[in-house]
Amino acid sequence: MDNKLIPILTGAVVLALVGGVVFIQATKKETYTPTNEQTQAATSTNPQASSAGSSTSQNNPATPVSYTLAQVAVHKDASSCWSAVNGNVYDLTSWIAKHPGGEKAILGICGKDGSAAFNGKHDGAKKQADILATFKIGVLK
Amino acid sequence: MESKAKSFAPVVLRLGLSAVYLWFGFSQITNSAAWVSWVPDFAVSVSGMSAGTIVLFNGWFEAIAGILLAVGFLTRWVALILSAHIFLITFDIGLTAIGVRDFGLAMATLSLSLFGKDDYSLDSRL
Repeated sequence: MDNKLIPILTGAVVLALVGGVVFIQATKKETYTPTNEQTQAATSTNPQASSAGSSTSQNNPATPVSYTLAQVAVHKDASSCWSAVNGNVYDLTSWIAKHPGGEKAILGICGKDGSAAFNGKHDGAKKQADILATFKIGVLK
Repeated sequence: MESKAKSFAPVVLRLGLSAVYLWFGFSQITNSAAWVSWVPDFAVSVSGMSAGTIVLFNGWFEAIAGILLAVGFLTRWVALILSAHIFLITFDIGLTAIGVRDFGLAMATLSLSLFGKDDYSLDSRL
């Protein structure tokens, strides 16, 4: 075999394997849309939010949707993962597969108050706080 | 036996690191929106580019560097540049679980740079 062929073939195998993994991951990703249950949970605690979406939000931009910890606890697995962190409620379902620290870290706080876990890992880190903020769906009652 | 095992050590390190950089590179290219929030503010202000564009550039950089590592071409220099790149990211992230893990990655890449070409790299066959 050509002397130069071995490293080139090895590289091609690594490239194909990693490319395949990324491709499979990309095709498995689904666009996350709130379930009916989530919509109901949001509207049951905030009647103002129930009268059809964006127009209501525009009317009451400062009124956050509030949830009890019991409502958060219903969303305790990968199919729907909510967590309360420092008084706010976050829907982390779409973040599970993307979390650089691994899925387990997020799955561990689904349906719970994840403040201690989040603060323990990322306390004071602006970047992580900014990312978390993008998943906010309301406040803890 | 021992010397044979030793000769594989840098190959395993090189291929393992190349897989890591390829995964991160491809992920940033194919799903740049998921990485935008990790772009530091200074990178946006210094470069004048949008965060999305920076992610794409970074993705291509890591993917190309990963390919070069996979075949073992310019191993020392590519690993040195990647190491510096990851040290910068580690410094930006700070002392968090992710930052400490990136520090390990940066040190492993620096180690590869110090070792240079191995028996199975393209460098040693040119």
